[in-house]
Amino acid sequence: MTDTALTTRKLTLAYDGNPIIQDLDLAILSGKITVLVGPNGCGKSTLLKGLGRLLKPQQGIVYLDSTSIFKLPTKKVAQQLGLLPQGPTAPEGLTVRELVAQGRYPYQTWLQQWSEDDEKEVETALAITELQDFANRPVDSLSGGQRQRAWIAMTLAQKTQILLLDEPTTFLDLAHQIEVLDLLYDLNQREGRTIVMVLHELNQACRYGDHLIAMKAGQVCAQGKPHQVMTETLVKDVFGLDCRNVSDPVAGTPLCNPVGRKVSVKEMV
Amino acid sequence: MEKSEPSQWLIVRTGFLSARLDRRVPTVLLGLALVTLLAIVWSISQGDYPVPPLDVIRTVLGLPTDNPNYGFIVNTLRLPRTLVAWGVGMALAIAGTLTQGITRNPLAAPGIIGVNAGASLAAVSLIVVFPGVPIAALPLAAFLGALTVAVLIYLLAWNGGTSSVRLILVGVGFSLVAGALTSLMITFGNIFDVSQALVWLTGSVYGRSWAQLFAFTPWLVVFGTLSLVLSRELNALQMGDDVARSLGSRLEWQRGWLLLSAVALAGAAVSTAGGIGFVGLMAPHIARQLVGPSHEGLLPTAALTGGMVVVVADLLGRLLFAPIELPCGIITAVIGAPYFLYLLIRDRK
Repeated sequence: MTDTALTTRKLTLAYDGNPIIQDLDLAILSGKITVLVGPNGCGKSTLLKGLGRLLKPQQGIVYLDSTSIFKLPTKKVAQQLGLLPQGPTAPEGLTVRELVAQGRYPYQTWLQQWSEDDEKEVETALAITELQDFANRPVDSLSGGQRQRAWIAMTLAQKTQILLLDEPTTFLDLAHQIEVLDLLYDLNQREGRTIVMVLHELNQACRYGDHLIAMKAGQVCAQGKPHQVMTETLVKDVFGLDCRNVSDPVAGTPLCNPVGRKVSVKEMV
Repeated sequence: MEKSEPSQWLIVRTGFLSARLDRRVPTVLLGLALVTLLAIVWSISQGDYPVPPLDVIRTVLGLPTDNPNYGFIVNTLRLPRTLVAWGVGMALAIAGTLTQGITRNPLAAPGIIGVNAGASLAAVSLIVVFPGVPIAALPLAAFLGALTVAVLIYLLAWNGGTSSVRLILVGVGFSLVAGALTSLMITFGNIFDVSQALVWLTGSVYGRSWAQLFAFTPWLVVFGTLSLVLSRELNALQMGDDVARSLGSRLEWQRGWLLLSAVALAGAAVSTAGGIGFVGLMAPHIARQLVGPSHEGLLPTAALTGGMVVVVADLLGRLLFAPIELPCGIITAVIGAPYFLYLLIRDRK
């Protein structure tokens, strides 16, 4: 019985020979929501791509259930691990149902291109994301929130135990952000799926994450439960930002209030 | 509870086999095939020596007609030419669909990114330098020329990201260089070989014979089939590299095979009928309007569209200023160039 879904050993990830992440040992807890936070360019997305075998490590290994992820057939990996990159774009004119159906690719063979299971999973994914009414509409005609839901539905149709999502809430208004996060939370609670996502909004990270990983310059600065990680010192250290934390009046998780130049700390006291 | 809308797909399922296809595909394919057939018959009936359409059909089917000359005119002179037009149109359209799919760039047709120019250069060089070579060697030379340009483009423009503008600018650059070298070949070549190359360079099916059709057909059949077999992979590829890879596509392999098919089809088409421009650009767009972007249906639809366009262009080229004959490449360029500009403007928005 393992309680880690993904593990990295001495992982070094590089773009064009420039290492972004070096010698990283990390464990992603199974059945939990893990949130990666950190400033722009700190290597969050790179790490996510490394975990999802989109980026071949320069050195080190990513283990999926104690097997090196690059030793497994890539379609087998795609049945266990789904990844939604940041800001994906669909081909012009592709309908929502066609997009979601693409998520069944890892289960299809040349002879079995559209099994009953495929159809069932696609309809389920459309239902979960409440997109049935838009199923025949082109993806490019949808609003930002609907579009993001359609991509999440594609990842859901992939029916993987592990979901990696790179900023699933970008370009969404607040209500749609919460809608997407609630959807992911439900999937985690109801089906015990392991979720790893990159979020920019620290307060949402604290509220939805079971486990936070704070990164800076390719290194993990702190990890653990939100109230352990999201301290005023850490925010100062990682983001270079002064802040005052209080308890979120709704959830009880840390609520980070940046100070900035407009108000001085003295006035607040 | 609201019921989801009826499916847009035709679904086939037997025990070991299942597939889906956009609902519109069968009707559209049938329509395109019928129009093409009519255009082919009409095209064969036209010329200095008109043959009534019904007699065209009788002659092709081997049935007796009143005029003993029809057999020669239809079967020897006009039928192979029209079939070459049809086949070349299909090959160019499939090549265009493949390149647009792999690069995720709606403007990336082999003619635009210089692949056709590379094929032309190789074929003209062969004609001029080794005048005696058999016709069957032309597709191979053109294929190698096309492949060289494709590899260079891949190295120079593509590896650093699929920027639309960069791909097209580098492609246009290659077209110009290959075009200049082709002119050089023509300047230094023997006058007889050169005149042969010139007719062919404008993009024409004038005087094409069964020999040329037979040299070309295997390329269309082999790589056309390969493209159809790989259409599902193309659907995954056009979602973007990251998505395709995370879905479990072995995309370097798939992309390699698809690119090879595109280059082979474009090369074979160019070596048979010269540079018939814009077909590879237009046909996929028209087909996408007709049946949507899923390649299982898109590829055959684009193929039949491209075939139809070239057959009709050849027909128009012969009818418009008869008895003067315009090469079909000029007709496709007159329609295609504004279409390209329209796509360019639309793409910027």
